[in-house]
Amino acid sequence: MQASLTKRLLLISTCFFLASCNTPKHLLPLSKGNVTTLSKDNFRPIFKDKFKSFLFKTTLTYGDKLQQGGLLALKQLSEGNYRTIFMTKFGMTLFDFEFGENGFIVHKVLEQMDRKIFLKIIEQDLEMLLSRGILGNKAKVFEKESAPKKKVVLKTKLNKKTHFFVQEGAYKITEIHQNRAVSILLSKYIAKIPRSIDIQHHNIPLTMKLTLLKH
Amino acid sequence: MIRSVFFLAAFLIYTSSFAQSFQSMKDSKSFQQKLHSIAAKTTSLQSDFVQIKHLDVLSEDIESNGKLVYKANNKLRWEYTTPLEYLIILNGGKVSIKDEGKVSSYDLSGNKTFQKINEMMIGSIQGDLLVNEADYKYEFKENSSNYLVVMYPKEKKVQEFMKSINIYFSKKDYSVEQVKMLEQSGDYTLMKFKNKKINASISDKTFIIN
Repeated sequence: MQASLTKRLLLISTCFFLASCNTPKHLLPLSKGNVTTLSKDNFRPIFKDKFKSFLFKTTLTYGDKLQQGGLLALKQLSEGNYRTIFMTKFGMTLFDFEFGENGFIVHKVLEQMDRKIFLKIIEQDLEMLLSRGILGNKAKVFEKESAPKKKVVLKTKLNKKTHFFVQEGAYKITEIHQNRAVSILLSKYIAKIPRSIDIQHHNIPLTMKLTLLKH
Repeated sequence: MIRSVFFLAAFLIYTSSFAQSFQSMKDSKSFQQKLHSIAAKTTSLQSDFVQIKHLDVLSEDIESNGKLVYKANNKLRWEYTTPLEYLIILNGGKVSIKDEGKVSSYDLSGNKTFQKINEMMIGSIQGDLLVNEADYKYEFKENSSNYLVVMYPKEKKVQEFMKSINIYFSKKDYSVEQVKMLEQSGDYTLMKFKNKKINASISDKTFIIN
């Protein structure tokens, strides 16, 4: 089953390889964009840039092929460096890796999950959740009125590649970049922190549902 | 399959380390005989449990709480109550799982992995787990208050994730007090059992998911 998952992820990835960096059609038409530097005033990170650790109840689903529940711990090791550990409800570690400024280091991964593309996707999802590398970047900011909610579209470069972020208030953010189209839905805010987080991929049937238990 | 492997491995997660040092058990055969004799007389078992996941990288341990109920023969309810709700029931050749309100059921007869899980879960309660020499190498130890059985997995794939399973039995009543699974990295999962009730009357309804 895991081999099948990997093959499908690889295939989808390959299919999107040639995707262009032009504005995705469904984002058009956009207002005239103003170039600005991304800050907390014009980009709303989901979490503060400094934190100790988060513990989420997590369900990872890939279509009807895989559903794995467990606990996901996310720890900030230092500024720009993080470690994440996903374990079963019974405490068994499924994967444990580090990402950030110091690169991508796998400490442990269950053989069945030991697929680079799979771990990379998880890393990208968590980076998006943490808004890593976004603030301070130059971006073109567009506004797109689509009733009933206003969308803010940001076009920026991360690692020299064009990324689009679509923010819909404090409740949804979507990232579009080549082979990646992912939305994060946020709800159940308490003290400005979302307790419920749904990470939904649009080009693969992968979802990650997180419920914040501790921070 | 993966999920099944996770459950299987997860239920291998039994052990603990008390402060007192342990020495080789003087009479391990007698201990095993006594354990089996008590297990044979056990018609039911109820216990609260605390599960502690220790990761060196995290400053705080992750603690989960729950309850388990066992009724002879082969009925088991294993339930996490905080910080998350999760329930597994083994009953009548079926395993049922309730997670976030969603109930899934599997037939044990057609699924070797779940059969194995069943053996592991029930075996850990009945003491049969201590005679699986095909999969584990055993060490029997004791101190003044506890017996300790250390199980070392023989299979390399299991060794990658688990250094040993340590099961601590009370010398008073031979019941399992703590179980600890040690990983190669030094991280561990510890389960502590408390408020144990043995041979109390338990309704069969306990093993049905509503």
